[in-house]
Amino acid sequence: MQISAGASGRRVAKSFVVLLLLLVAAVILGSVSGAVVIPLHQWWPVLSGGSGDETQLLRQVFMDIRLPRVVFGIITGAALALSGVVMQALFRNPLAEPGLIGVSAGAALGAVSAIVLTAAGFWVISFAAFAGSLLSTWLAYLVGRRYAGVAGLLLAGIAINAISGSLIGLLTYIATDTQLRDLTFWGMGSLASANWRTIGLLGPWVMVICVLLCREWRALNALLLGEREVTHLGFSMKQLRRRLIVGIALLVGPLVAVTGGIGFVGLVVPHCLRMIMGANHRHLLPASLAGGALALVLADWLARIVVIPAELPIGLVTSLIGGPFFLWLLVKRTVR
Amino acid sequence: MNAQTQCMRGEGLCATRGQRRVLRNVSIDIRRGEVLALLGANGAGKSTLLSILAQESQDAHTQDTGTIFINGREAAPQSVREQARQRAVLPQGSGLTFDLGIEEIIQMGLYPFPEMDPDEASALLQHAAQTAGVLELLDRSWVTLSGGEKQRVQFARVLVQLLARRHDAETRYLLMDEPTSALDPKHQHEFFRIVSGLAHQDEVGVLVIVHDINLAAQYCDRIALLADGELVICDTPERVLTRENLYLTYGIHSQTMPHPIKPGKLLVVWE
Repeated sequence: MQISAGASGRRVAKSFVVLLLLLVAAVILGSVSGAVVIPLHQWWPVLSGGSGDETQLLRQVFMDIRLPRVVFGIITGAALALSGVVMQALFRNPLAEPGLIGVSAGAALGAVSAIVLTAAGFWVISFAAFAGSLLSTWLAYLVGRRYAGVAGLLLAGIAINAISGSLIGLLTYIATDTQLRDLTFWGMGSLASANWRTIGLLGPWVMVICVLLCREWRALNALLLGEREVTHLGFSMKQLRRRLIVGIALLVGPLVAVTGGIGFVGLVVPHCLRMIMGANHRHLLPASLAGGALALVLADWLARIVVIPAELPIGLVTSLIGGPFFLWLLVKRTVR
Repeated sequence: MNAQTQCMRGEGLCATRGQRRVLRNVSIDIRRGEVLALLGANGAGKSTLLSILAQESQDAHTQDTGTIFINGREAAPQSVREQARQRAVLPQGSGLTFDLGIEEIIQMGLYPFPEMDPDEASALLQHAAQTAGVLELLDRSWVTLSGGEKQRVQFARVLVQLLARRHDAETRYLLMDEPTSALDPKHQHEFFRIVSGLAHQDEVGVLVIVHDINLAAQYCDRIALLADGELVICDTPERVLTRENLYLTYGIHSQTMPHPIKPGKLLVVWE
């Protein structure tokens, strides 16, 4: 038998093609349907900027509401799934997710503080959430790096999650009714705030960090073997750990700050992809970008069409579907 | 090439874990083209010594002293990548639980050598897989392999790492922690034959922790005995395998006799 890319290479290529086709389909679906439907015969006029009142209206819906949302969904989903893959490799556990090192809890604490303690608008809340996520991740890292490997990081993350949770509880306790409503909705996540300005700000940022993280595929594969093997294969564990944590904090922090809590994407998407194409990070990292984007664009589409003309918080949709789906995967796996 | 520089040397190695002094002033060298066996009772400090020689990252609570030299140059200032190009390590067992392909695992041996030409790389992978006897495992899934099969796959990965620069003049080193513990007798002997070929033909310096003293006596050029963190002796099997040395190491009496089948080799029988 020859060592070659062979059969597994073909399977990987096929998975990529299917993923990308599904993503294109989801993007079209997410762009044309919702409270206002863009009918098939209007697709081309809308895209090419045709005349007519109806076309102009639909074009406005498409360009100013739909497309930014879909694009922001792509960015957020890709980043969440990628950071899930990275966290699972770093902790060598398929159940790890970015929240483990305090990114999300810190962001939530920052956001809730801003909502309850100040009469803040959207940007102040986002900034507070970002600051909170950076601060808590930094704390977890500071404490965790006193230990070899990632055990310390994990324990520090648990402590920080608990502290954030109790402080959020305290703030919730003293919040007024309006604030309560605001912070509850923040916690359930939404892409509704998506606009071209946010995308222009976060898009390039996310892209750069994703590319940098994708380049770590060798070290992430080595991590699957074990922390010692990382060193044996020529990667400094300390530096790697720092690079990955900083990457995740800078990737997830700003996104969570804008979208609020969106659960399960970072857990379920990598898990499914690993079942389809194996655990090699060379393919898994780029595939998670496409898979995460697909999942979130679909989830956002569902969130918009289920209760037209209102919409559900997207975090609710991802958890409502992701949770049972994950359970089903686990059950299926043990039966087989 | 001078014998002083073509070796991996640990000088004055001391290690403390918690309150325990695990290694006390151990100095040891692994020479080009030899298999050096490291033996000792449980808890004697064998694995610690190996992990220090491998320069594995330490946490803030351990304070190790001593210096490692690789081919005459101090190891600590060299980058981790630079060290990985000269030294491969085969740890005891593997904690891999994710479903990686067997080929993908073996290919990891190439990670310290990103500059390698793809044709040369695939020839090397083929050679290593064949040598380690894992060609028939290539299309299996990692999670379905037995303990011994997993060990052989990891060995193939380490072989790739060692042989990637086989045309270099610089000596490369292989450190192994109980590589034969999961292998049946046939595979144990096969394994040691491959390892001794690696040392004698490819001129790799090998340090191997092994519990079976007769495997060490048969295949290893030198044997080091470690007792309670101190080096008892490090020399040829003839000088090392005496009743006194073995008693000092294990606290049990033994007799050493000529091997009945293998001429020139020794056999140790425990009393």
